[in-house]
Amino acid sequence: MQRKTITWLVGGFVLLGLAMGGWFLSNRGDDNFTNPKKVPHFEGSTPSHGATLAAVPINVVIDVNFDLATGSSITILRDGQDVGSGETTIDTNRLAMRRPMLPQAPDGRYTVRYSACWPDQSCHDGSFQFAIDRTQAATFIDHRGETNVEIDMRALAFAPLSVRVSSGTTVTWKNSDSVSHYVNTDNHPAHTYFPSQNSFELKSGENYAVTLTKAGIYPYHCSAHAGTMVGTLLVD
Amino acid sequence: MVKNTTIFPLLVGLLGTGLVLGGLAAFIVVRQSAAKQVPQEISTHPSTQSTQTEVTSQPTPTASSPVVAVSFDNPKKSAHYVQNTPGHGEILTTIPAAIEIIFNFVLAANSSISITSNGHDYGTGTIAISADRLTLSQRLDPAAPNGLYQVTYSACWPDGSCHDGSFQFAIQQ
Repeated sequence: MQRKTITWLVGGFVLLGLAMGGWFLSNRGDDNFTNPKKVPHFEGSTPSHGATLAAVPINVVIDVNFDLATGSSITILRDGQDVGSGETTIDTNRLAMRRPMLPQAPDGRYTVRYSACWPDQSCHDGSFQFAIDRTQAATFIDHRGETNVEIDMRALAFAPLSVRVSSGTTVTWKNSDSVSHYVNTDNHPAHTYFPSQNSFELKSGENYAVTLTKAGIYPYHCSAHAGTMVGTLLVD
Repeated sequence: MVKNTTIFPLLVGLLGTGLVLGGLAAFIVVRQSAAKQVPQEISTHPSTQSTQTEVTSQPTPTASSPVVAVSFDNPKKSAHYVQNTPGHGEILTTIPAAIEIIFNFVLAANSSISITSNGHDYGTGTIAISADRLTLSQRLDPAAPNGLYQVTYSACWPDGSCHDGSFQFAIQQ
């Protein structure tokens, strides 16, 4: 074979290898999020940027420390398509805006683009990303089909940590610890993702129950131990 | 002339090398991208944008209490904020007995309020948290003068973290 032919073959395979390597890594998924863009007064979001969830979030919520005005909006994009459901709404205290997601939204990476508008009629754009990976549901303790499910709070942890239940299940948290705990929806301290889940202080021996009906993922935490005491519910 | 039996292994080796080089290059690009966590774009919003407000209604201006033009900064609200009394931007004709801020989540004991005007703190007595732990309040000096007041509060939560907020009101007797 002539040297020229070999050279062309070498170059071609090197380029092919580079292309395949780049494609492989660019599609690795949940650790390849672009940097978020935060608006003024931004406090937090649920899902948080870079989160990978075992199911569709019931809504995307953005928390701020200033009054949101009409015109604020959230778009939830996957492959250029908006998978948000219904309109963007602003909470009564005007410190959070939210938009539900289509429950059948597929696995993959999502880009949230939002416009936060203020009383002076100015608006600022922000964005962040999260991912859905339903294979993670296999790690959840399966209590589907049970009407009542109990989660224990002991040793500064929720047990079980990740629980899968059916729609309509009543989940009861029981404080078996000697210290007080809380059951609060993410994120801390706004607690705006699913406000109906929020408890006040639960002293030792006290219980707290919530009935969950909407399918999706429900991340939560204890506000007294927000950094470490976290749990997740997955409702089918 | 290269033998055919040499070419196949050579090509396989070159493909593998290409894959390794491609993966390494992509890895370096991704790491550099991940390392650039600081330059998250943050839009600016004039946090101290003022609303010019003039007292033109009651009380009738006199030589001892002339009309005062008041400019209020935008308020900042902490998580779980519900409302505050006096309201932001209110111009009061009497001195309020106390400043109250209501939340919808329980406050921790280290929550605080300061009520200042012209650099002087006019809060008196201890800062109070209601029995249900939802209201933060402090009494105001009954001799507080006319002027613009800045209320700055720190709402603290069971994990010890705190988030601040602020609002303004004016006294024009």
